[in-house]
Amino acid sequence: MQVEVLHQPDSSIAKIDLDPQEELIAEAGSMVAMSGFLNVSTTLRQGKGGGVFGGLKRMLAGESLFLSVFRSGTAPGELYLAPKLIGDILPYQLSADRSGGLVVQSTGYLASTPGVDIELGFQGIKSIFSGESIFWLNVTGQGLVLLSSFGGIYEIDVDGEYVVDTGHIVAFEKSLSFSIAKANKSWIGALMGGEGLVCRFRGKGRLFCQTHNPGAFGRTIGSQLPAR
Amino acid sequence: MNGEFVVDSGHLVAYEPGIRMKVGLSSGLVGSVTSGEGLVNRLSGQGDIYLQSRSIAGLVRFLRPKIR
Repeated sequence: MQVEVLHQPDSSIAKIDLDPQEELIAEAGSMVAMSGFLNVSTTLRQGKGGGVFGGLKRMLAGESLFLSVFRSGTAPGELYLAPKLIGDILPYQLSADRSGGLVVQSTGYLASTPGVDIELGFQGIKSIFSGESIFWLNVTGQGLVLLSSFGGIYEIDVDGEYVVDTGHIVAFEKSLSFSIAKANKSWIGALMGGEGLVCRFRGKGRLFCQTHNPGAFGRTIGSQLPAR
Repeated sequence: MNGEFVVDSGHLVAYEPGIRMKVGLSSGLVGSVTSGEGLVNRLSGQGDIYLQSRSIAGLVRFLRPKIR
């Protein structure tokens, strides 16, 4: 399997070349185009978070209930996937020995290879206050994950402590622990400053941030559109 | 492209006249509804096709729940 991300960063689209007998799981609705002979099926199953219950949990996380599975038969095939918002795609290679997995912000999942387990993770009561989604996806196993962002993605090697606005996180390695904190020392400052709450990361690992904040974009546009 | 290609209907911009287009389901009836792909275009023949990486429908699906 070969993945190439085209038209980065704002209109990125992933071109995936599947070898014969290969399989890719993707978020439902993310397919743009593919070879005519690729076999498409819909599944609820995804590793440990399988079955109907797993699908419902995924819905809670802001993901789709169903996942699409693309299979190449005897011939190599081609597949194009894109997220729905303007933004970048990042391929991330998961290996069993490295950092024990990835935590992905719930809308940041695009696709993965069959060896990858996606599970809904509840990061504790603290994430309710983060103003963003309560749920995160726990991505473990071995293989490739494609992450999607709103805006560009940039990577930060955290060693020690690092602070990011809650709406700008795409994913982080599990070797990092995080806590929700206010940006300012005083509560008034935190609320008035417009920064609100931030995530404070500790440890050593990689952190992926996005340049745009989907929640803020939705609020800006949504309030100016006529009511339904 | 050469042969058969399946394109989501919201992402197809243009194709050369030598290519034939059919509208169809991406898989079975149930699969098409649940996969979120809905209807797709099946293109066959040889020539260039032009795709857009983002669709209007995708943006609308994101914005709709934000409207009060």
